[in-house]
Amino acid sequence: MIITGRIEIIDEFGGSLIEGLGGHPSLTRLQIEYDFITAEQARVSSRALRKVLKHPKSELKHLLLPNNKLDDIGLGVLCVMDY
Amino acid sequence: MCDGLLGNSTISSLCLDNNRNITSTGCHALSAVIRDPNCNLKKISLNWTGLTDERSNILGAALSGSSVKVLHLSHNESISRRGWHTLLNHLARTSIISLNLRSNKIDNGGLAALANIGTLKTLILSRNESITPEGWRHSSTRYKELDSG
Repeated sequence: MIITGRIEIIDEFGGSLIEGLGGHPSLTRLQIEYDFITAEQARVSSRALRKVLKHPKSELKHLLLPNNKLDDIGLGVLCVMDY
Repeated sequence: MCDGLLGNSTISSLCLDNNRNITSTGCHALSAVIRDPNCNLKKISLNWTGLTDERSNILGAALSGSSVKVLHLSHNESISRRGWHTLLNHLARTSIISLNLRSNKIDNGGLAALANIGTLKTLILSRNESITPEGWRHSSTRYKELDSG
């Protein structure tokens, strides 16, 4: 599944969109790019991605987030901790 | 139970190309993931991420001894020649088989250090203009020595 385009994550909408992918039985590759994750919303989107990763039925193998504006907080949330 | 990428054992490739707002703090977070015993990351792509000597050293130390096989680090022009020496010495303690190091500041010393990564099968080194013809000649000799055992 590839999400592209100039959609910015605003007011949790993008977060909910990503979260909705959690546990998808055939989702093995998730590619979100082109400023979908903005610096302002990095925390929201990273939290949503983390929920996808934590889903017990997750089969996700390839997580591709190029050309975004992930910052330390966003990456920190995605990797190890909440803020 | 995983907590984000930390503890996750299904993700095998992670691409963060062209995310230029990640500093040493973010690199420490990613390092924690790489060091985790459950980590199954085989491919990490960090092209165009504005890595510096400090950030690359943090990641290099984590990669040392990891199971990562493919690493993309092209267009990280803020890593100095000395920074590359340090990073490549870390990578000599990995089992990396593919490296993309295009458009960086790797010099003859860095090229020589690459010979110590014994598992390497694919190497992209184009547009590293600090490598001189003498560096290539020396490296070629070194690889022939390695090839002959």
